[in-house]
Amino acid sequence: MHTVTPSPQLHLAAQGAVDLVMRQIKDVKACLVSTEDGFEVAASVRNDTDIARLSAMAGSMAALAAIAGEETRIGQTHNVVVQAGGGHIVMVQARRKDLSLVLSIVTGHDAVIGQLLYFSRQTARALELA
Amino acid sequence: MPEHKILFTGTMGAGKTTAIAAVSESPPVRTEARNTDTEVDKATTTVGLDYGELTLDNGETLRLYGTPGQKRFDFMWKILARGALGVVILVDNSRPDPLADLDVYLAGFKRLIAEAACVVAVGRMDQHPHPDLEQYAAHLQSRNVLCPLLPIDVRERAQVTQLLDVLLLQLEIKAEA
Repeated sequence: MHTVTPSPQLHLAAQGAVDLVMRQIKDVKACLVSTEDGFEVAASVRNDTDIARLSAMAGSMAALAAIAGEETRIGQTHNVVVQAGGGHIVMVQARRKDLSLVLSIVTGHDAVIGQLLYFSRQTARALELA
Repeated sequence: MPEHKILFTGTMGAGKTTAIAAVSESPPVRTEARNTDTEVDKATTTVGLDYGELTLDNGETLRLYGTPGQKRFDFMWKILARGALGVVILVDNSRPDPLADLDVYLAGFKRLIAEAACVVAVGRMDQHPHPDLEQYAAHLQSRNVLCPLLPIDVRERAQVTQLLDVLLLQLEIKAEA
């Protein structure tokens, strides 16, 4: 079998990471850890975000951002930031040896972008080491 | 010179990425991720798009886009379908219910099929001869879809090129109608 699936330990670590983000970030609406091929690993939602759809979109967006960085020769992509009228979405890849994950954080417009970027990167690094 | 956008779609493992790689003049762009779906024994899967280019003898360029196969990525189907002149639906005849698979893409690309050109190409028929092409033809007729149908090995450049010729012929016929 060629597939790799998240271990129970990874599921636990991912849920812990999600719970921490929900406590740390101001005006956070949703936090999701998904596989790079678009399946939810752990999530927490305060609005009506469709987690299954966001999981798939996160996989696509992270992959497209990575290839954009390669094709333009600006190096490995760190994150994808969507700025919208009502808030932000940040997507960060957590590159592990077994399988890569995508951390997605959705916030309202009261979120502080610097805080969001800092904690998203910290959380992604924790997922890489989990 | 004119450029034309062509889509390749179909189930995971049907050969979309392989087909584009077979004819693309430069190494195609791929967005593959490790597969975690245990229902499919495949190491990787396309999660964004594939992209390749092919220049025709008349100087026109074909921009070839491969979609992710799984329905959960159907938002990419909508995005990639914009401005496409035609769609190739690749079917894997080794799967349990290829006709049901075909239905997913006939529904997912219904508008594009109605407005543009479409070709259905069935792979792995040499080792999995059923359903046969007659059954596929009857199935398409039952869905009110009229489009060319052919067997294919997407690893063969000549066959993928022929597939594109058939698609372009469809476009010419529609333009003249």
